[in-house]
Amino acid sequence: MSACMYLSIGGIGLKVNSRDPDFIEKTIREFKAFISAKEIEDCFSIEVILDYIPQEVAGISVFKKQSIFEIKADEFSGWLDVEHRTATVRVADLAGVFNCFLRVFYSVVLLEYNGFLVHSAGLAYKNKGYLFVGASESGKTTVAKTAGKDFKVLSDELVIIRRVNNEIFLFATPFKGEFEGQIVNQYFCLESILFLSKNIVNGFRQLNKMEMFTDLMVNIFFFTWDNQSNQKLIDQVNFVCDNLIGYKVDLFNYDIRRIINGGSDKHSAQQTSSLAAS
Amino acid sequence: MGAVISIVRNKQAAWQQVEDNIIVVTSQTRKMHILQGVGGRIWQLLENPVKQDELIAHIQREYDALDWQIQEDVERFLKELLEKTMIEITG
Repeated sequence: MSACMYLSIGGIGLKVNSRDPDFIEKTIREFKAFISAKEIEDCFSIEVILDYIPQEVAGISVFKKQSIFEIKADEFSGWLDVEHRTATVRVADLAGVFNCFLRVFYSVVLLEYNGFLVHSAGLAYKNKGYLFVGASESGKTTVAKTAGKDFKVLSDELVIIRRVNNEIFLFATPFKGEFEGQIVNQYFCLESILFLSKNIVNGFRQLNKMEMFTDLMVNIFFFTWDNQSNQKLIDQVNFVCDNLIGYKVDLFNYDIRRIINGGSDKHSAQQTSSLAAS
Repeated sequence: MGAVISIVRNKQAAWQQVEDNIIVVTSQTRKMHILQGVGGRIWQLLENPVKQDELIAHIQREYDALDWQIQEDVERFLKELLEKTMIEITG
């Protein structure tokens, strides 16, 4: 007997099938905010088989053979046919492995949807999206944890960027790091990109396009190395860099509101005056 | 590389012009390369197969430097591009 569920991540629907009802139950709990109660038409269909024996391969690899992508990692192995929207994956029956597969799956699929996954924390404030890009230990989770109630957290690890009708959107993902709070499955128009680095002093400066392009490229979650995929990716990154402003932020004890206000105290001043008036 | 051989961009290299630079991503080496200044100009000229001596002559006409210096620099640069699989020899 097989069971299934529907997920919606980055505006892309996914039907997950498995012969193991326990797997579906566990996955529903893990992906709670991303579950679609309704059947999604015209979605990708993934068959998940829980019989993979972990083996050492050199990291994650994705190879394109004609229109099929072969995906391999230590704990899963599968193929993805983007054109026919089908995939099959054998995964080790271990916590987090399917989530890891989905990260790779979306890194491939998103190229067809003018998008990509980037190592970042995504936050929304007053209906605008802000991307805090950085490698491990750069402060992504700290940004998400300390953001405050006025902010919605879209992820503290990997966020989806998509170009839709020449606008750039930030989508939530279930691909999170150590953030244990609520992830909101929503999308927002991306306002600016902030590249994080830890420092002993606060710093804030606008990047030129070249700096922004290279800093963004090195933080993209991407394993597909065929020329067509590479070209699609750098074209998307170029569009993002042409249409948004990037900032380098040295984090010491920076207030998030101050960062998204362009490093100024404008918001803090407004807040102080409203407090004084009350 | 001999002066009469033809060279061209590797078709397996994705690239994008960003400001005055050319960013090249090669699928074989899985690396991102940045070509600045004359390097970017040479990349533009390698869109179609071109003989090495013709390419050098083109750069010598466009840039103000000693001819022998340009020749040495371009030859070294092309060797580097070839090692990084960014260009290929066509004949």
